[in-house]
Amino acid sequence: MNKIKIYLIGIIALNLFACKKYETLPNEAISADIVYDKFDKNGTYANWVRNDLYTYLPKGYNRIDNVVLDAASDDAVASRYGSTIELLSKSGLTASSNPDNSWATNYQAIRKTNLFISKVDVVPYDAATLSFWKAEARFIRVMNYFELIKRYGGVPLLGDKVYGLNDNLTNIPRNTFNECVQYIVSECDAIKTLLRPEPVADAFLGSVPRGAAYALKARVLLYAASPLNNTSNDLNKWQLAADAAKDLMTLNAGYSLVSPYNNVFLNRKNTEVILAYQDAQNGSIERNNGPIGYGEPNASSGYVNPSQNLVDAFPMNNGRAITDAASGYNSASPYANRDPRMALTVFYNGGNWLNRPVETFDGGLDKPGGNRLQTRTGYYMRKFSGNFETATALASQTHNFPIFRYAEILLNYAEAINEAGVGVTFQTEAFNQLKALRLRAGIAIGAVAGYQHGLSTTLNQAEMREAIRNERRIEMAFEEQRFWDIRRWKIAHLVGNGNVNGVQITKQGTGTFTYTPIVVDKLNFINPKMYLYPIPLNEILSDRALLQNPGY
Amino acid sequence: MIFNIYKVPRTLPLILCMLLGTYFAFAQTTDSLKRLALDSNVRTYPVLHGYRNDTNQVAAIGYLKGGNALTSTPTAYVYNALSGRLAGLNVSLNNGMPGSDNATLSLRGLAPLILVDGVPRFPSSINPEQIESITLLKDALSTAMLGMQGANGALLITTRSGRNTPGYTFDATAQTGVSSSLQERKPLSAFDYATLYNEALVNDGRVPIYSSAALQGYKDQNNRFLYPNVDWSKELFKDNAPFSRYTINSEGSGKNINYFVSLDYLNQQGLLKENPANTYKTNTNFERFVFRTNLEMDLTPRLKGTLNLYSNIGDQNAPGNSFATLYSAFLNTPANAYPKLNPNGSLGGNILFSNNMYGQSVFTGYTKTNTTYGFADLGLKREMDDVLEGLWVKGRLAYNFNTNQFINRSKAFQTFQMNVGLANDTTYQRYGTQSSQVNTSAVTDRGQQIYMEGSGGYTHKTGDNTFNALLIYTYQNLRSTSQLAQKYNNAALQLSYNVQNKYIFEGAASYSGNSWFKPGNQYGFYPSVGFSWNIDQESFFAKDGFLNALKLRTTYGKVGNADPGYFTYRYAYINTGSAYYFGTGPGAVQGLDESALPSVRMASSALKFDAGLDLTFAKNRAFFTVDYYNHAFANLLQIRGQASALLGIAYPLENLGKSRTSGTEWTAGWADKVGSLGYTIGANLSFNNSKIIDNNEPAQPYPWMAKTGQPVNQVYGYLADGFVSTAGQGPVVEGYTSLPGDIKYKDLNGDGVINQYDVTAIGGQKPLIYYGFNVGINYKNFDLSVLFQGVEHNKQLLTGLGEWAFQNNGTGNAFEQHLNRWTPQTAATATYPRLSVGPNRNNNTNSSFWVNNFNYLRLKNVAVGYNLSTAFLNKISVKQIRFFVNGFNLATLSKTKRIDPESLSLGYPIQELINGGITVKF
Repeated sequence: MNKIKIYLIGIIALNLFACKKYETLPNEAISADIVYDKFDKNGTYANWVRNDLYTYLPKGYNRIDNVVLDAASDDAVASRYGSTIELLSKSGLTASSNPDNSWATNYQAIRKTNLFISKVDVVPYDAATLSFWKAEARFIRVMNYFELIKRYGGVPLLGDKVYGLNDNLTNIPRNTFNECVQYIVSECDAIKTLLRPEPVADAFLGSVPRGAAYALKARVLLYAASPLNNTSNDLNKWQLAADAAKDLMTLNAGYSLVSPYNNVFLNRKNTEVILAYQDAQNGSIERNNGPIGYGEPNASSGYVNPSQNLVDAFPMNNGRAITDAASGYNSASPYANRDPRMALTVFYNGGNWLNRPVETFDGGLDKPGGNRLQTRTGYYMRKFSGNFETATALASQTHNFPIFRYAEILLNYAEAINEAGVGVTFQTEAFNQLKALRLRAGIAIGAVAGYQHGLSTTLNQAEMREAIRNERRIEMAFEEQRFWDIRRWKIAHLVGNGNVNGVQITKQGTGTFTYTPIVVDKLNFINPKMYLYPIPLNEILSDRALLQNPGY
Repeated sequence: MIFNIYKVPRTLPLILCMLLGTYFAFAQTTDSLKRLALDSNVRTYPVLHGYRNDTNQVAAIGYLKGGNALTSTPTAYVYNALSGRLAGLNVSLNNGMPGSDNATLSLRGLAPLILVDGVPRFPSSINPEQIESITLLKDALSTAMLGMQGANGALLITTRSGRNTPGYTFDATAQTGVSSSLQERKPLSAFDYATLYNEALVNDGRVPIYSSAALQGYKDQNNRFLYPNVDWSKELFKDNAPFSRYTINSEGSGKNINYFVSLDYLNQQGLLKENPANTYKTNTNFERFVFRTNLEMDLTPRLKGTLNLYSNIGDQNAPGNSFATLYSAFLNTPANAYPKLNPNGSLGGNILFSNNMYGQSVFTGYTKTNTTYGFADLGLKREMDDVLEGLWVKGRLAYNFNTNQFINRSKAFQTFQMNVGLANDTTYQRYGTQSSQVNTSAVTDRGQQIYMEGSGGYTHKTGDNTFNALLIYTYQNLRSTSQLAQKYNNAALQLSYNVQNKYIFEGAASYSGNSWFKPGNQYGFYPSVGFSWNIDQESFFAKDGFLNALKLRTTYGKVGNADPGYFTYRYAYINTGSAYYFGTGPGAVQGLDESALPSVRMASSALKFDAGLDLTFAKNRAFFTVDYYNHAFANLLQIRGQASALLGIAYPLENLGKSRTSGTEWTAGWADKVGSLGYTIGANLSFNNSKIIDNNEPAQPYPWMAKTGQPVNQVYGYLADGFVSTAGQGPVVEGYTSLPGDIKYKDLNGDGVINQYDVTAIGGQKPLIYYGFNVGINYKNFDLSVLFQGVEHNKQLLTGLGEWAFQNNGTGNAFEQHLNRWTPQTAATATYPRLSVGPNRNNNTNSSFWVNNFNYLRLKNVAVGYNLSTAFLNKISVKQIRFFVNGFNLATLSKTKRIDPESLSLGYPIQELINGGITVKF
């Protein structure tokens, strides 16, 4: 009897231990073979990888502690005191704290593009599309190198290699700035015929077109020719930059300035944008930057406060600077008859938004006092927002952060050609670009002799330089240009140690306003240390051959 | 040292009562005493897969017998009762929310594996009456058979079997008490807040925002709608909340059966005030049912079966917005932010504070978290002496599961800001929108575990020598959510040889594996050896001298810890969701990306050495035990030191790190009887050092930046060096323009600025010390026990919320400690830098300024009991009637006044509990 029991128990026990074979590895994981599948005629997964590469294109907007990068220049401040943007505007950068540290992200992009380029040929997809994809990946790769060199100077060039855990990355030195420039230029030259030709069909809008390779080349050569990187002022470098810009202008790819001006940022399909970061359709830009006095459903945060310095840089709508006695500027009514771009760049007191005038006077709806975050300068940032001046509620809006647009090419060309030489041709060529931009902005040519669009027709090289720089500032405000421009022009130690100004507006009993200039913040720029970012501490410790930038 | 005693007003009467009570005194032995000298029997206690006694024990263990030590702590979680009881075990409680008030266990610096009746289980709440004993397995030998799960040590809970109770008993206990919060951060009054806020603004060079009329308004409180000064602590929280527990136990042993049955109901209410208009509870109440049946049956004379069933059902209620959100708002909201109610009875609020806290508390509906645990064990053991004398075989099967269901019955509410217009007309601006209650439920967690065990043992005696062998195979299959099962396979052999009770040799080894590691790396071999010498058994030892017992023991071995990650050796791509937008439409395109580089991990290991001395002296009245341990950990997972971002993807965790923990543990006790007064005194003290031996650190530019050689949990930052006295003075952080009252730092590399090259260890090198001591007295029918527990060298870096004033873009709160800020007048005595609004990048950064020593000594537990006399009980045929009062966290000595030094919590404050009840036993 006992034995039978034992046998029975034994049989039960055996059954328990005789397990079935279950899934032993997680089959839901997508292995590399599936992504780059030699039987995948549709290239589905490879396409997804390529989509992901696009997220490594540079994107501006409120990306540093809710404010734009240019809030670290004299163009704006953050409404929040002590915002981390002040590490940039007040020389707080260290090798371990940098709110705009993109080193790792850029090298991620370089790895991912290299990996994609090395693998994608396996996929039996349409050969023409594969060729576009690879050229796009190469573009994104050098775009990221450009993002690196404008921040850090020369960086290690990794070529096409995809590194693994067993590769030694502890002894890779920096390439020089010029080597990096040459690499970017040679890649741009190589891919400019391989990228998708213009006009790009609607369905592919956002893909890197040929023009982008030209535009990147023009920009990187302009940076290379600028005083920061061209200490001997080699005029040939300026000429190369001018030629590169001219190449795009004469490419006949259909690029032109669009009007009205802010359509560039609001419509994905327009002739001015060469390459943009195509963002989701939503209301985030409006909500981040709109004046704070609107309740739900339009509640906005007003994080960026443009400066009086920027507002003053906008001319009158006759093109004359406000400091020009002939401009017609009235300091008691400072926003009347200004360059139309001003109203599309900043919200000012009395300007319309969401069906009411903006109130940035003391105690106004948009500057109520107390401990809410509110404007410090008397302005809020309008740029990139949809046209909701008379709407009652915000709506979903396309946002297109311009990486390259045709206006920049014209400005690049004007600057480079003006610097490349002294003489009628050089300055006239430059002047023509400013005229085109001002015309588009809504500044008429005017009937005053010796002036066109408010600019003197007899500007010498230095005057022309100032005119171009000012035009660049107002045309491309908050597009992450000014912050880098003042560095490459080597004026950051002048601009960056100045004051950021604002205006205190007081409403009088009669309903009129008085405007009192105020100093909002004092910038601090340690020269020459701050001209380059520090390489992150961990990189210096990990890669013993990397040399830190001076001063850090 | 000057200690500040807080919480005295509430607890003093109780302490006085208890001191008076000692005059009559009591009978309970304090079970943490390693040896109860009055009881001359050698103790037997459970260890992993078997039993040991004081003579044949070799490994380093801690032992706590169940009973009063556990049942006298009135909380839902039995871990709380372990605080200060066992050398080597550091117990800390940092959440007081009913149902979440479980303590964190740290055994020699690591979280031990929890075993219930020898099986690793989900952490769960077991009511203390179920517990026969708790054994702490501290060294390599005691956990050798756990193999890859043994490196952290283990806590073995053994449940009652009824084996030692002849016949049967049936007992019922009812107890009830009240809980109240220990020290919490105290926000400033509206007037102080506004005054300091203005001062901070002026310091920052900005214009004050509170007019003198406003300040006067806050002070006078004539218009509390315009100038609110809300004491939210009073508006939201009750002073105390009830606690009650009812337990029925029965156990016994008969001819062929031993049994234990326990049923427990606990109801612990939260501290939130409620709105009587609600038809439901919004308080943080917790209810729990626990049920256990343990059966042992002799199926045949040689075949024994065991069946253990356990289930635990918990039900935690909370306001719809969650208590964490509410408490975070409580810490963040200044007293002047908004009135609780407007003149028209609506909830106050404004654009900055649109979530009125009273609204969050009572007008957001409620949520319920239901947790269910179940354990079932089935075991069969057969003595094989019909085949071979001393041989047995055993099989066990256990199944555990848990589910966690979240029921959401929350809703949204609205607040109003009152605006008084120029014509004295009142308008209300609305924030938020009311909504009806949602009703959703989701199973947020589900886990199951299958455990199988097959073992065989053999005991052979030759003369005075005993040989023991145990061979065991265990299999565990763990599943949670949608992941594939994680399986542990483990085969272990344990051998011991006892020479005349003098010399005991023990060795154990396991071959242990985890299925989530890469094949080829799944298994490890973990051997341990130990030796002990009972000197008191030697003929030269005079047992009736001063020393009565003396034992030396030492163990050495290797144990492992498996942290495989989820198939980390596989290279895969991961879907990154909506990546980018092409074309003109709103639709996004899909992205795909490498998830991580594959890394082939293996189990980390610990080489553990332990040496101990046990002695008993003074006519068996006193005992003393000391252990020294040194644990060397290797192959710890970390990211490599030289992890260059040029790789373009994150480096995975690799088995690179080495660290060491070492320390000593001291336990001593005394027990005696004077007439009918019995008393016991026990104390334990633990030192715990840790050190990073190798963390693959790249060469640092300066030696003070190195982490190698520092304690494992070291904090790093700048060294504060007083306050700036004149503007512009340094050294301060790079690029910062200093003002008087800013913190100055030590410029370690002497370059004139403070930056990453001045970061160094700021937490000190001293070992963490934790200790406990207890006194037990019994006199006739009375008994009393008192437990103190404390921690020394408890350095913590506290920053951010609750510590810094006016954070959150300047809308944040300020607390009482900020009154002692730097001003020109208080420059010498200030404990807080000059005030500023919003983040200050010089002062609000990790530095030694924010490191505090949170040392404390706490009266953790007091229990008083009275048993009715047996003569009376016999008349009514009742075995025992006992009345008792006990308390938890009753008083604290600490230099830190403003927060509780044990929890340092930003959540539900931990509780003091006073409780009383009656036990009747038939």
